[in-house]
Amino acid sequence: MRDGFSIVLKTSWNPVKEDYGILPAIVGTIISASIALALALVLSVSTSVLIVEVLPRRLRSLAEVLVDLAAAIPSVIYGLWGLYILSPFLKEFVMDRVVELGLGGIFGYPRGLGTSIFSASILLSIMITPFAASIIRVGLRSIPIHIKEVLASLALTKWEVIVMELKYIRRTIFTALAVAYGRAVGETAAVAMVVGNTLTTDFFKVFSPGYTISSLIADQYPNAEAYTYMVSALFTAGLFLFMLSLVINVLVMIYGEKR
Amino acid sequence: MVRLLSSGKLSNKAIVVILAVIIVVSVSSLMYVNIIGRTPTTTATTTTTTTTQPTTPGRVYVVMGGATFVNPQMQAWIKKYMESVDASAVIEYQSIGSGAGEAKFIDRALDVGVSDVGISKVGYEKLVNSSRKFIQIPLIAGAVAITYNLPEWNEGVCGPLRLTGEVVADIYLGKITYWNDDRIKSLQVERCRDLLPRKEIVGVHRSDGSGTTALFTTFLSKISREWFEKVGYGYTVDWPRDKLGLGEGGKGNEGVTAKVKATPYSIGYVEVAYAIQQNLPVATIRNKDGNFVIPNVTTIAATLERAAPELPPPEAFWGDLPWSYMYREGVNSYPIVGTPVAIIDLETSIEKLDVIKKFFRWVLTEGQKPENVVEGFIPLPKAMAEKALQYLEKIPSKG
Amino acid sequence: MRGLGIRKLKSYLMISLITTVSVLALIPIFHLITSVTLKGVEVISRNFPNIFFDVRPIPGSKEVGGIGPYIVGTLIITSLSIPITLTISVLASLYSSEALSRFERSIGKYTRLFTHMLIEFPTIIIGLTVYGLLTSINNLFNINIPRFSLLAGTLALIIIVTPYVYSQVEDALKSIPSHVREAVYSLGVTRVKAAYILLRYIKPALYASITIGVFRTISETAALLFTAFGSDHYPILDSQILFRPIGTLTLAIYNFALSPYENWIDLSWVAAFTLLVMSTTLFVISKVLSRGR
Repeated sequence: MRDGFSIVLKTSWNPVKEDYGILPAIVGTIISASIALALALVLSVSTSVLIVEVLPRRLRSLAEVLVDLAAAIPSVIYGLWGLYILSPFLKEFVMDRVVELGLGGIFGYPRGLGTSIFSASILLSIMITPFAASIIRVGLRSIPIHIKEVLASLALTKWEVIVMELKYIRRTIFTALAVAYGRAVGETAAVAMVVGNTLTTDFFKVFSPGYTISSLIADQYPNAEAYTYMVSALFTAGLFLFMLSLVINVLVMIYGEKR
Repeated sequence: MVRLLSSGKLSNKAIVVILAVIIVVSVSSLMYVNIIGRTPTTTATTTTTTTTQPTTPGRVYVVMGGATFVNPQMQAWIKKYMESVDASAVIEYQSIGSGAGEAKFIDRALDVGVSDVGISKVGYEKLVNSSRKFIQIPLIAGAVAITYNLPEWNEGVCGPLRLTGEVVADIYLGKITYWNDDRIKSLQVERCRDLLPRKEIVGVHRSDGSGTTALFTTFLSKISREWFEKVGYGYTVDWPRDKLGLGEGGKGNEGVTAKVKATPYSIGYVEVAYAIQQNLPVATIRNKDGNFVIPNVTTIAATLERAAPELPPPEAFWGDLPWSYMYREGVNSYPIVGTPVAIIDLETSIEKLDVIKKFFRWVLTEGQKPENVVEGFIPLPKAMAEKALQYLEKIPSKG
Repeated sequence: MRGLGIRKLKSYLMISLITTVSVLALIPIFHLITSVTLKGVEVISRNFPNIFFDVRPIPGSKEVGGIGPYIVGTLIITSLSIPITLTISVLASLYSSEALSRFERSIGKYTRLFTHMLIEFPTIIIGLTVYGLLTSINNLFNINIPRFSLLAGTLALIIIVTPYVYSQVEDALKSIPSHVREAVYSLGVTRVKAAYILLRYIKPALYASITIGVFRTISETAALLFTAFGSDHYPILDSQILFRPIGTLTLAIYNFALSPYENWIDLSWVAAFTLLVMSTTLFVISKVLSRGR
């Protein structure tokens, strides 16, 4: 690398001068994936509990089909839907409202169609939920029958049983979320369409358009090889993603060992 | 495993595998029956010269790739060529991006690479240093249109918005902030000047690296010294207006289009094909002779006709070609035009070269006729096409 | 049992909350599926059934054209890569979850770590890596394996999809209750036989992981750009097929959706709808099979 480590700390992206910085993309990736993960945790656990424990048989398979199909929709389609339907909706009903409260200074100001880190986070949470849910569901289903029997014999309410079961499979939930997080971080096509793709100095404001590492790579790679250093800059960004996931997965590993 | 198979307990697993195989085989064979049944009829009606050679292993397969911009036109040419001229060869074009087209050509993964603006200096040096043999030809013409979203503007009464390169440069530089800036006002017809509101201009641009951006910024660089020094030109630039919070990126032409449509008081630039197809309002741009012109077949051809004599030799560096196209003299020359450039590998097999030569010969003659040009693209001026045809003669052929 | 009333109430409240949240999560998905279906069916009805056999139309013309080559391409590349993916994942997950020695266990641990990290990679980078790998192999041995080919595409897909399938299978294996596992091993059978029995035990999860694997395979785009490359012609079925580019539905969606031409954009909806139908069919088959046990 020509620039050494400073590429991670710089915010400019100016191929004309062969000057590259990936800090906005790194921050954008972490913020969007984290918001998405927090939402997906709630959404996927509820969905799987609903499907396995609450819904009557017939509705259950319908909901199951729906969730599993969602995992199969190509991300390009999610992107189109996110660009034309989700982002404008979020802008009108969430972002503009928050800005009216005078919080624009903290969250930033949405522009145009509302494409922003925030829209990307919501879209990502919708995309990774089915994925995490399918793993959690398998976990719930494979709770051994004798444990279920014990739980049933304890005269607990339905909710208490559910909580116990969730505790029992917490390792599976953790894994599911780690996998889902991976998908959120690596997702390219859909995010590139809704994240706004702008390198600004206020990249930490979630309502402003921003960048993620993978959308930066997708946006810039097709013409990158016409420049001297851009390809290495993009690969550095990829390397950073690699280190990020190393940290996360070591955490998963440690957590898994303890049980 | 043998023991397992003979145990007779494999029923369910076997069923899955067998079913999957059956489905895949039946669907694909169904499609093949359909195709083999159809191919001869389509070729028979459209061509008299070709001998149908269904699926012989010896079919020549030419792999081309690069610029996204020219993809629709390439697909139309390939389809027509393979259906009506030569069904024996298979020609592939995929839009992987100009830079990738160039790089994968250098890597020898492509037989022909296509770039929106000609091969870059870096790439050209790599080719020359490894003493590769290649030639370059222009394929077709296109232009960049400037579009806007100005609710107050009544096109029926005022005509399209009028702009100059200097004004556009200053808008994207962030020096002109409001629509009712005197420098925009003074360009418009008298009776419409007061329609321009005091609203901030949102400058929309491509976020992904693109030939469209390269052409647009080349134009701005040629016309505005300040733009050239501060920003420069290329597939991606560092947009000054973004830093003021008044600019926004859209992915692809469709991203820019969607943003301009949805954002009142915005301005953006797209390929002219896009502007036509999507019925976008298009601004007229003042050319070197002082006339405001709209991009269309006549005005784009007018520019290129003047540039034709300057077409560089086939092995030279073509990266400066867009620069020479921009802002040409001429009463009705549109100032922002470009020609995608194909770079052909002369070191590939003779069979492939034969196909490549025939195909591009067809492209530069029949392919430039209106019935073979996709809406939004503009045929090369005759002088330019003829020059390119001479370049093609450098390709060695079988006989 | 004092407080049972409150506990019951809390239970109902929480369950209704869960239901509401889930419905919120399902609405967008439902909306998406409906809009893809409506648009897709509308376009298909204009050129039925030829839309599934024809090739791309001239852009901007009145032709509807079709997506035949892309369907065939997706089927070919999927049926090539899935068996390999599945074999690798099942073997690897058996190895890591049924490890006996400490050495085997640590290998399993690192495999797990590695696969999870692979999932997090933007797939375009994996595609580029496969491309780069083939380039260096070519340079090293002075041969010419075409990098834009079915072979490269299949390789990339295997690398991308294996971690997904692997983590599913492994999770299922690990969630086998220890008494079952002990019972199996106490039968005194070989490890291979034991593994087979355990796999039978997690059969529903196995079907689910196959389904997920196929879903991921048929919906991958970015990694195929610089490997499978894409093709707009019917693949020629001969000995050279592995060495020629191949098109897929996702690449078609990507290319068509980016163009300004109405009839191409319409085709991208058809391709999306077709993908959806393919997944549904597959899904139903796997459901029926896992139930009919």
